[in-house]
Amino acid sequence: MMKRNSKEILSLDSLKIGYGSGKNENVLLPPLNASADNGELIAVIGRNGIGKSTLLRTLTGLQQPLGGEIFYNGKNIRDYSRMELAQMVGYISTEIIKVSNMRVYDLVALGRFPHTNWIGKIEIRDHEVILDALKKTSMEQFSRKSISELSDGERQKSMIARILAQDTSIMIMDEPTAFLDVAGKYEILHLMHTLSDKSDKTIIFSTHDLQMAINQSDKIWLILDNKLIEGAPEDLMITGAFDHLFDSSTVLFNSEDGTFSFRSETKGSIYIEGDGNKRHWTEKAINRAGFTVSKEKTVPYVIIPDSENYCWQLSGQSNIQECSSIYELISCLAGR
Amino acid sequence: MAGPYVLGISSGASLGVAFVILGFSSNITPDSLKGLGNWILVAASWIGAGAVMMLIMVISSRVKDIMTILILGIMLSSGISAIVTIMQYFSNETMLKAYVIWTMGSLGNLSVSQLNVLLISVSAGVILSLFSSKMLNALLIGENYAGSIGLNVRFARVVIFACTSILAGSVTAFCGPIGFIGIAVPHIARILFKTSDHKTLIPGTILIGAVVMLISDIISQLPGSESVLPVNAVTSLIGIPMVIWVILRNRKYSGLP
Repeated sequence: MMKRNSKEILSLDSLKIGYGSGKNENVLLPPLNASADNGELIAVIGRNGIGKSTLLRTLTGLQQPLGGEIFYNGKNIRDYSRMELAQMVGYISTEIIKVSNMRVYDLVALGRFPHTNWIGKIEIRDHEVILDALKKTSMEQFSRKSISELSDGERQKSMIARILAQDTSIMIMDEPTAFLDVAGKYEILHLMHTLSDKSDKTIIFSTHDLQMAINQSDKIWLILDNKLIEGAPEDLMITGAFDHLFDSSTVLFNSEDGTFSFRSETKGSIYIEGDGNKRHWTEKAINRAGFTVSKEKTVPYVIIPDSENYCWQLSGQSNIQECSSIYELISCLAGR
Repeated sequence: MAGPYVLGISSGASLGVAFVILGFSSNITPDSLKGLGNWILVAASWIGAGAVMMLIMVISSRVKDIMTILILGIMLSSGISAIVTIMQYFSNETMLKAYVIWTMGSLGNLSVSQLNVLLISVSAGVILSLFSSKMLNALLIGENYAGSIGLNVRFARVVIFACTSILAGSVTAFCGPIGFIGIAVPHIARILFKTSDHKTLIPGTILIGAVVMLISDIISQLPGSESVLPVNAVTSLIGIPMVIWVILRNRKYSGLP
């Protein structure tokens, strides 16, 4: 076990999570040990239903641990009052908030809940924090817009602004990019990255996008059925930890670039002549069609288009077929 | 949509009142109640309202679907009506008349001592409701998020529960089970004030509610004639179209708060 370092903000010690109590206790996972440092972006990875959301809810204090301890800044979570915890940890779930007549400003202002007086009066200082949160998430121009009129990405950004207004050093997000398109995903991820980098926020988020997690996070908590493995994404790649996530008879995980492919019966191997971008994508297409790329010359083989002749040549035993696109090339291969 | 009338909280209060008026002696009628009797009536009403409220809260902690809760509330109030009907069947004429007149609702049949009781209970309820406005704002975003921003959800439930029981119970005890003001007015306040902030909505709802209620009462007095309509009928006739309008208008938002 690692020694507790001064930057450590969260540590889990033999944490048991699950539902129920007494005889009906349903423990989801074996005891978990993990830690997080200040300012880290941590991705929680695991198959559907393994207990990622339960873990995140337990860390937020919305659910009691069934055993073991959670320490924030070296102090047990049980010793924090609800208000103190709310000034320390913010939370975004996958729940979509639908309230009529609520403006983005009102939603973000709710983040001030643990800081305001008994009736929830927004003082000048609170107002400044709210404006700053809106600015950091570039949502200023939406501040008076009703939350029911926002796009998925804008809604997620206003939720992030809400925890920024809550002014917590830890942000816990359950699948923050789940409903978003690719551009939206990267925008949110970039925002999370900036917050952990520039504002020193510790962000713990769950995701199913393994590639994104590997590329962007400082650390991964990989939850498997029998244990939690933590480490830099690259460390987990090297030790082959991700292989346990998949049924390796059907899915092939490429530990060099973190991509997946389906493992299927190979239909044969094909040699490709040519270089560059077009070769890269032709290889992909040929793999997808169920062939492997051979290093030695085979029959049939494919010649990549060059600057003079824009067509893929598929040379068989006796004939040569010319295809004007990869789509045609694959049809020709399938038709053989 | 979950007004006290729909969820059966008013019916619960009626049951409490029915126990007092129909259940004990023929000497007790709302008019003859003095001093301690007023408090007995109000307390019975609180207990009735509180019991139904508690049932609804137990149900709503298990069932998240608002439609299911509403339907269960309607079933509950029908069940309570059935019990009251049985009690009516076995009661004597005087008690029955006193009870039926009470169910028609009236703002007028209050003595000064009753007003005092009402004033104290309603003030307590209003202060509690103002105190809960911060909690209600947090609960707008759901119990999970409310918990994550520091709300003690169980405490909030108790306060809101107490507040609703006191307010619905004491008014019902003295003025009868007046329907539809409780559902219609909060929605009108939301539409008029265009906000979700309970710091505005609670005083706004009190104001609009008082205005609508007084208008209903003026109509029920049938200006220019001797006769008086039951105010309960007037509020229903005014309230129902409003509720229908609100439902149709808000169809785009699922799960009304």
